[in-house]
Amino acid sequence: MANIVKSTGTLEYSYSYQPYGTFRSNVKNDTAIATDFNPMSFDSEFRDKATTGFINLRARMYDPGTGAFVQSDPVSAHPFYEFAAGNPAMYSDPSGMCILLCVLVLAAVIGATIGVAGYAAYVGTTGAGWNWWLAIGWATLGGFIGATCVLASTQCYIAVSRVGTTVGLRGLGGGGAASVLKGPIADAVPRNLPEQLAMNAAREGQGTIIMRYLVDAPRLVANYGEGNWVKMQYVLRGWNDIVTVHYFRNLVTKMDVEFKFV
Amino acid sequence: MIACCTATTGEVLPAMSRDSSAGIDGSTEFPVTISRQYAVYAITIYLGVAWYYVLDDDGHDWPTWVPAPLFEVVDGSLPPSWRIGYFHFGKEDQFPIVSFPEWAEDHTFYERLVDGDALAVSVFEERKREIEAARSL
Repeated sequence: MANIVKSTGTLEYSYSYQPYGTFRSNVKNDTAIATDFNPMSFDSEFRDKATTGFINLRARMYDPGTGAFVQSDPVSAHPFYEFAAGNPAMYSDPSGMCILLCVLVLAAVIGATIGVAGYAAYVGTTGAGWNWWLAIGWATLGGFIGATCVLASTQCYIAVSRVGTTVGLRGLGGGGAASVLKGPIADAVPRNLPEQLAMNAAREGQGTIIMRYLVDAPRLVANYGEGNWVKMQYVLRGWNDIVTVHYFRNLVTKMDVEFKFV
Repeated sequence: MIACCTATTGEVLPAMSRDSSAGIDGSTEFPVTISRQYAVYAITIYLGVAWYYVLDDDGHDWPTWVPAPLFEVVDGSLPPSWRIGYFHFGKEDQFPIVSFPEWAEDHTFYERLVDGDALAVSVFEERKREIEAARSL
C-alpha cells in the first residue's frame, strides 16, 4: 500500500518500503486524520501494529525486521523461513507459501498445454482419430517434463548462487571466456539477538558508506536495477563482540540489498 | 603518516561533506577516540574532503575511511613507495587514492581486502608491518 487518498482526492498518508517491508517513509499528509490508523501496509496486508509488527501473509506471519517468516513454509518438507526466495526486489510473497510451488504449477500447466498441442498436431498431420486417453497422457507427460525442467534449473541456480562464484563459460570457438553474472544473493539470517539487532538497525538505514566503485556493481545493476551502488556498513557495539553488517545500497533509489554479517 | 583524532562525529564536517543517503550527516559517529593517534594507510577524496583509511576502534582487520576533518596531522610524511592512483568512472565519478602501490594501482584492492581475499589480506598485513616498523623508528 503506497497511498491513502480521500474521496476528494486529498492525500492523507503516503508510504514507501525497504525491499523486506520495513518502512522507508511513513508520512502523514493530512493533520485532520488519526495518526497511524491504517493497519494495511507492505504487500497490502495487515500489520500487527500493536505488538509484534509482523505482517499477516495469510499462510503465516512475516517479520519485516528480520526479513524472514516466523513459521516455516507449510508446503515445504523442510524448515523454510525465507521471504520471497531471498529476492524481494524481484518477487513478492502474498500467500506466505513457497514461490517455487507456484512456479512449478505454472510450468506444469504450460508443459501440459504443449503436450496436448503436440498430440493435436500429430492427429492433424497423420489423420489418426482423436483419443482422449492419449491426449491426457501427452498432457501429463508435458506437465511432468515442464515441472522437472523448472525444478532442475532452480536447483542448478541455487547451487551456483551458493558457490558464490562468477561462472565462466568457454566460447565455442575455444577463444576467450564469457563472464556470466551471478544472481542475487539472499540476505543472511540472524543467529542470535545481537545479530538481529544489528540487522534491524542496518535495515532501518543506520549504516554508513564504506566503499564506492564496486566490482559487484554490474551484477547489482543486472539484478536490482540502474543506480549508484555502494557498500554500506553497520556496526553494533556494546556487546561482548561487535557485530558488523555489510550490505549494498543504491544511492539513487535508496534500495538496500544483500545483507550479510562479516 | 600519523593523524591524531580531534572529533568523533560528523558535526565537524562542512555541509558539502554530508550526505544522508550515504549515512554521513552531523550525527554520524565514527569509531575513533579523541587524542588517540592513528596510522593512515590510504587517503582519498570524497564529498569534498579528504578521508583517511585508519584501523579504527571497531577492531576490524581492514582499515575504514574516516573524514580528515576529524583529525590533526601529527606526522605528514608519506612512505617513499606510496603512489597516487586516479580512476575515472565517467565525468561525475572520479576516484583518487594515495597509498602503497598494490592499493593505489588497483581500485578493486580495498574491496578484496574487506571481503577477505587472501592475497589482498597478506599484502595489507605486509604493508601494515612496514608502516608500523617505520613509525617505531
